[in-house]
Amino acid sequence: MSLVATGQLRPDAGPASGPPPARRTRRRLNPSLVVGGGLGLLLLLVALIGPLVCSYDPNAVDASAALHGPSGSHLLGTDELGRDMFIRLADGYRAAFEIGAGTVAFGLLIGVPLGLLAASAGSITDNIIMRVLDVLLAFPALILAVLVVTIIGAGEGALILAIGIAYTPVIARVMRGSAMATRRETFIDAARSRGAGTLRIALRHTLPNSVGPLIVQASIFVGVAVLLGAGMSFVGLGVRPPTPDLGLMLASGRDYMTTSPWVVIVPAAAIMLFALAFTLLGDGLQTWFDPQRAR
Amino acid sequence: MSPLLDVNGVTISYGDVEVVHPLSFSVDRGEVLGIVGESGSGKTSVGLGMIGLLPRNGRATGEVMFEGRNLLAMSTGELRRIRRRSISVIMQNPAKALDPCYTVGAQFVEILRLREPMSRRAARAEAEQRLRQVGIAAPAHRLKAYPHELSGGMAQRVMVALCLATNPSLLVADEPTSALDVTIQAQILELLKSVIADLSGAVAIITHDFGIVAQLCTKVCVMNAGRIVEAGPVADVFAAPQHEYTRHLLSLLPGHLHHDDQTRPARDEAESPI
Repeated sequence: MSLVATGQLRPDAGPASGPPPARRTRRRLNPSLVVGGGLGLLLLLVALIGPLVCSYDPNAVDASAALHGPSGSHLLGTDELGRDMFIRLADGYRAAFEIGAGTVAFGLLIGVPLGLLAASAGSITDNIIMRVLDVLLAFPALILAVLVVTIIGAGEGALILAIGIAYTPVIARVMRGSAMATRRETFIDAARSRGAGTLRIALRHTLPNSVGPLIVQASIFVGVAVLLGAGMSFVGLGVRPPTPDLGLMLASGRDYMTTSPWVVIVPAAAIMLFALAFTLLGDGLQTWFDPQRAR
Repeated sequence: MSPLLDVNGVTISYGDVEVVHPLSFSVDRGEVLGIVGESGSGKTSVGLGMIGLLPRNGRATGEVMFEGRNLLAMSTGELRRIRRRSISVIMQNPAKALDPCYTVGAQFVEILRLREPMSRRAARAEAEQRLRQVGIAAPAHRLKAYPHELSGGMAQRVMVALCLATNPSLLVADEPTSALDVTIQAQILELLKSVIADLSGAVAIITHDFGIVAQLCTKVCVMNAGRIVEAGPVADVFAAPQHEYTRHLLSLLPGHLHHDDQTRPARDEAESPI
């Protein structure tokens, strides 16, 4: 190592100081981030490009082609009604992305303001907000889904709403915890000492410094939401047939599992890959934001 | 005329524990007060508590008259206005006192526009001039830097510049050099000296270091266990310390090495092997 450099005194404000020394701690790409992100992108590509490159209609019934195995004309085979599995898979992924993005957007939109408010306002407000959310958290997501579906009817929208409501308390908790930690930082005191108001401190100083854990949580939730959504569709609480949906495909295919395993394997693997992609992505993001704690 | 800052019978408590017992002191324009004491003596609680910057569980009672008004009795809105215009605080750890999400320039813009309405362009120009004032070369370049791109000494220079940007009539510095390494400490001390000389207001420096008091302050309060044990002009206190505790602290200054023979390790065990 260079003994010379450490032995020298470097006055900070020397007249000839050029560009600042690069002290940015390098954030390395980690395997989880690369694999998770890459897989997520690939699935998104399938969802977007699949319908363009594949000429089959996802809902076109063709009894003569029922339960054909994977072949040149049907890449992933056909289901019990002769529908092309690949195009249904691609459409199912599109729905999965909608559900994932929709629930997380819903959760963030409601959870972030609530969490920030709980952390920034006094302890009375904090307690009111968090106790109400605790009650919501005590409901299993599936029961909430039944509730929402009985009120507004089954469908993708109801699914997004149900899962969104179920995860809002979790997002609010993560936001609150992160914001509480940020509020103990010196720069928050510094902002107070300059006469910044509560709102300014919450929005301009606390929020931007607290979003790291939130992004991690959001990414993991995309995967979890799709998993849960598929489960609800499977038991008939989510998307209605004949709309292509991964959970529905799994449900209708299970009768033919022994003779034509691909009708189950394809949607099951598809759900697994989706959940895996976003869990890995969340993991990778966590390491990215906090390289020390991940070691 | 009453002094700019007149602290009268102030106590500070966290929960049920009173950590600072009723104490009084004052600082006027042109004066530099050093509040000295060891860790836990309550010096930081006093320094921050008198301007209403205690943590949520802290409570200050008594009277802090600033420009003729009691800081501890006014509404948060009024207090906020006074902080924006008249009071600046130099925090202990400069690297942590700058918001990591914003560039140096953005932090200047915020602070200047909190004080009075002005355009961003004007604020940036002002910021550049302030950075130059604290001896930062290529200020336009530094304005675009994020806090983590600054070295510790550079960050503290930026902090000082930020605190001066509003032309405060009261400058509070909480351990301004403690978090810096020794070579940088000397530079920041020099900077503070020149800055204080230019300042028309009052200064309160919270420190454990009598060396800093000797270099910067005109008067001093020595604190121990939440009380002021000795107060007076720096020259008097140094020449003839009245209190046992003050004598003890002064004996710990370099140059009084004869006194700490017993406490010094036999060998330089702490020295790094490299």
